[in-house]
Amino acid sequence: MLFVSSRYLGNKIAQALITIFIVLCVNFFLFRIMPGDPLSMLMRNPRASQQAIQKAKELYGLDQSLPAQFGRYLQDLVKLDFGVSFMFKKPVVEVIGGKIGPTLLLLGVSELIAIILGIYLGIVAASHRGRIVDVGAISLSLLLYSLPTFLLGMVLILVFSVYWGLFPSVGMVTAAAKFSSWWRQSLDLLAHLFLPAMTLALTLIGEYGMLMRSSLIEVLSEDFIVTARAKGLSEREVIHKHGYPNALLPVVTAISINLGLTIAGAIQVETVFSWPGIGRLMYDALNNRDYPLLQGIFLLVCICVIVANLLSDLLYMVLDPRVKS
Amino acid sequence: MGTVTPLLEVRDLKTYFHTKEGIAKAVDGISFEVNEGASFGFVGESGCGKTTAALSIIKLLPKNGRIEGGQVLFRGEDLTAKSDEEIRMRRWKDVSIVFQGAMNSLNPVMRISKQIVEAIRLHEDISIPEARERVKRLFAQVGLNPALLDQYPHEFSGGMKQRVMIALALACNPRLIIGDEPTTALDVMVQAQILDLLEELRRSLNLATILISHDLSVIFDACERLAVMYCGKIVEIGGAREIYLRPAHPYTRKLVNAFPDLELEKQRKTGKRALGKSIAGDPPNPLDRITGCKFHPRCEWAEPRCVEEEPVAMKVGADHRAFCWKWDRIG
Repeated sequence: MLFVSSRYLGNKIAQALITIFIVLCVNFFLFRIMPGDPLSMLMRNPRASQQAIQKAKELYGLDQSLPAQFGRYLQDLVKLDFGVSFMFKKPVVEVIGGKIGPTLLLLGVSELIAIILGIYLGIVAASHRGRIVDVGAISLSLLLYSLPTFLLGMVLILVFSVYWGLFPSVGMVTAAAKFSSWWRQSLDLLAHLFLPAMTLALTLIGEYGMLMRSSLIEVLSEDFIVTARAKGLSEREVIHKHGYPNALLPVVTAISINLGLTIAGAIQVETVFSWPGIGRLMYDALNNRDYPLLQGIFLLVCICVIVANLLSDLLYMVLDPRVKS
Repeated sequence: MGTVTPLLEVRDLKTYFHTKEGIAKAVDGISFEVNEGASFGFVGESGCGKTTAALSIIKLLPKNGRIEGGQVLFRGEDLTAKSDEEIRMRRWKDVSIVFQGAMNSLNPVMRISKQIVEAIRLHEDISIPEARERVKRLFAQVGLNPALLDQYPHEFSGGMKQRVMIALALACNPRLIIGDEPTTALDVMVQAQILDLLEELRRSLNLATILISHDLSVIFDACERLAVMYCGKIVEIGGAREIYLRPAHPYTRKLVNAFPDLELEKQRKTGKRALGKSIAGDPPNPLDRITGCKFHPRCEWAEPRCVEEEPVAMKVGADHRAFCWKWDRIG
C-alpha cells in the first residue's frame, strides 16, 4: 500500500509547496496595500525631524521601491530570515516562537475536547433521530455554533469570573506564581486555561456535532446498514461498527481544515481572555502595522492550514481504502 | 405439500407504514407457504409490497413499519410473536438475505473477510481462524478465488460482489435465503450466472429460496411457485408453470403481455418492433383507499361487484389460485 501511495504522497507534497509559494507572494503585497503608515507607528513622535524619519526609512528598507522590497523579502526568506518586528525590535521568528506555546496549548486542549464530545454528540443525535434527544442536541449545537466566540467568552467571564469568582479571566499565569511549587503552578495554569479553552471547545463542539450527525444520518440510510441489521447486529453494533467508520470520513476532512484555521481563529478568544498567544499577537501586530511580524504570522497560519490538509489526505488514505488510486 | 409442515407459512400478514400523510398498507393480508428446499418468487411493480412482504418475515422493517396482524410460522414457530431481541438472533441463522449486492450492500471500508466473519461469530461461538477457514470454503463454493477474501468491496466487479453477498448469506447455514432483486443491477450474462449459482446451491444444500423481482422472466425461470403482488395484496399464486401457461388474473395477463415478444416470426408478420404492451393507468398510491379489488380502476373487465367486494381466492388449477371474481369469464 505504501508503495502504491508514494506517488500520491509526492503529488500532494508538491502541491503543498506550490501553494506555500503563492501564499508567500500574496502575503507580501497584501499588507502593503493596506491603509496606514508603519513609519508613524515606528517613530511614535509626531514632531520627528525629516532626517530621523529618513533614517528610520532606510533602516527598515521602506525607502526602496516595492519590487526591490519584494526581492529582498524573497532573498531573506530563502535564508529563513523573516525580518525584524517593528514593534518588538526583535527577529520575527523569536517573537512568534515565544507565543506559539500558549496557542498550541489552548488549541490542543480545546480541539481535543471538541473532537471527542462533538463526535459523541453527533452519534447520539443521529441514533435518536427525530426524538427529543436529537432535537435537544441539534438546538444546542446550532446555538453553540452560531454564537460568536467573543460573545460566548464574555458571557462565560461574566458567569464564572464575575458572579461566581471561580476562574481567572485574564492571562495565562498569576503574577509571581513561578515562585510556588510546580503543581501549584500547573493548577494555576489549568485555572487560567479553563475559560478560554471552554469557549473555543463549545463553539467547535456545535460545529463537529452537526457535521457528525448529518454525516451519520446519511450513512445510516445506505444499503450496507440494512445488510448489517439483517446479519443480526444490534442497533448499537450497527452504528459503531458500520455507521461510525463511514460517517467519520467527511468529518475528518472538516476537522483537519479547521485545525489549521483555528490557529488564527483563536484571535477573538485570545483577545477576550488576554491569552498570550499567536492570535493576540496578530491583533497587536495589525494595530501597529508591523509588516514583518504580520507576514510571519500569516505565513505560519497558511503553512498550518496546508499541513493540516496534507495530514487529512494521509489520514483519509488510512481510513478509506478507496482513496489509494 | 400435503401433510408435511412447510418451512415457512405466512398467514394473513399485514405490514403497515405509519407516515405523515397517513397509514400505507404496504402488505395487506397476504398468505403463502414455502416448503423446505423449495423456490418461491414474488413478482410485481415497484412499490407493490413484495420486498416488505419478504423482509417482514424477519421483521427487517424501517422504523415506521410495523407488523399489524397475521402470523409468520417458521417451522411452526410464530416469529411475529417474538421480541426484537429474539428475532435479531434468528436473523441470518434461519433466514438470510441476498441484497442487490452490486450496488452498495457491502460496507466499503471493511474487508470482505471481516464482514463475513462478523456474521459467523455473531451467531456461533467459534474462533476467528476457524471462521476465516469457513469464509475460504464459502468463497470456493460461490466460485470466488479464496485468495481474494481480504479485499475491499470496491476492488470487485458487480458480479463478484453479488457472489460475495451469496457467500455472506450462506455463512450461518440458513434454511431460507431471500433474494431481494439479486440480479437487478447486473448485466444479462452475469444475471444468468448468479441465478444458476443460486439454483445450484438450493439443490445441493436443500435450501429454500424466496426470490423477489420486478422481472417476470427471472421469476418464471428461477422459481417453482410464485405470487403476483399488486398494491399490498397477492392477486395470483401458484405453480410457476401453471401461471405462465394460464395467467388468470387480469393484472397477471397484462404483465405477461407487457413482456417484449422476441419471436422473430411474429415480428416479421406484423412489421412491428417487439415492444410489450404497457398497462394503462398508474399503480395506485399505497395511501389511497381502494374498495373491492385493488386493480379495478385499471381493469377493463371490472364490474360493479369488483368495486364493492374484495375478491377471495378462486381455484384455477390444482396449485393455482387467483383473486378475481371474473377470471373464468374473461376471454
